[in-house]
Amino acid sequence: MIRHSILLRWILLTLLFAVPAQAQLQDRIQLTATNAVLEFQEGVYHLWDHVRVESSGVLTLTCDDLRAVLPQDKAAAATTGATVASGSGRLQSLVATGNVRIQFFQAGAGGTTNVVHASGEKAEYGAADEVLILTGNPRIETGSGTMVGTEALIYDLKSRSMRNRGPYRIELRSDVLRNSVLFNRGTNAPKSR
Amino acid sequence: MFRRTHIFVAGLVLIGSPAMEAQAPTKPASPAAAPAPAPGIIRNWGISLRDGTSGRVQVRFSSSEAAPAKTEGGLMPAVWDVTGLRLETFRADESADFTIEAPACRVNVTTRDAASPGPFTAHRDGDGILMTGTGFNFDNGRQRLVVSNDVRIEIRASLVKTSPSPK
Repeated sequence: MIRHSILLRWILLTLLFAVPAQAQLQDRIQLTATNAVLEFQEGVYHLWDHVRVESSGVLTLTCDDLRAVLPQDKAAAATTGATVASGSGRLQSLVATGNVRIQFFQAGAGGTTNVVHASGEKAEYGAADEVLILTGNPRIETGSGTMVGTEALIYDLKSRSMRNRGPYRIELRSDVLRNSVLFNRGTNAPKSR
Repeated sequence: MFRRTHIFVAGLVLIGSPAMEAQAPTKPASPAAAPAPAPGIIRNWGISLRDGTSGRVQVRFSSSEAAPAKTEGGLMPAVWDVTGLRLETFRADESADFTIEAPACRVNVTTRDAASPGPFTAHRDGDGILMTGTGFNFDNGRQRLVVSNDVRIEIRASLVKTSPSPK
């Protein structure tokens, strides 16, 4: 009886602390690398060698070199009356180069998670137009197939749509069409008796 | 006696003046008779450094302990080995920007640089940016922090969130 009570308290305590910790984890983006330079005035973060960006449950990015511009925070500037550039306090731009690999995690049907793999030699994100431009053998793989571009693949984060620059190729997985109505239509052929 | 002299000097340094950089090392009272002062540990060491033109506070160093790294014969050593460093940088309006903390560090008050091969943390309260790593070099002249190993930066996801998609 006492054991049960202790166990129950332990579970409650674990839940009590685990939930805020999880929420806190999802609110944070972690950038890791071997080397970095932070330029205070411009708000430039330059990381290189084994760069990894992780936003829990949203995306994982690895590359050789990453340059992010995150100017002075707007909130602090407001309290002090300092003038800062428009759009400051948020990520302004991000350029990842060298073996760029990105994994996007998207909520799928029935509580599943769909993983989208994107790769290329360079990925650029601009906050102004909110698009991710993938160049240098750009490739995006989803559960249903792969899109291979020659020049650039552009992912619009606002509309969640994809477009391309230059020729591209789409490879669909054969099992995607297996149960499709396209190939399982009724025909007018006489029924076998 | 010499320890007291050092404490007095640190007291002067704490006040922090724009002219400090230009100040020539002061000679000991009786250089011929007295031997070179033994480096003493100063507790609660701190220094605020101002911009020579505007006079605004640029950077503030403080630590639990500090000792002159080199004895150059002057009363105002430029290079200090500090324990429990707290380095605060300030914006143009003198509001706090980044705070860097390191268990051990070497500070050059003339160039206003700080470096350590050991661990450190840097954070900015305004937007919750947190940075940790091993081995750093703070270059005040170029306003940059160079980290040589195991960099980890944490930023709030809200800083990179996109605008809501149009319906």
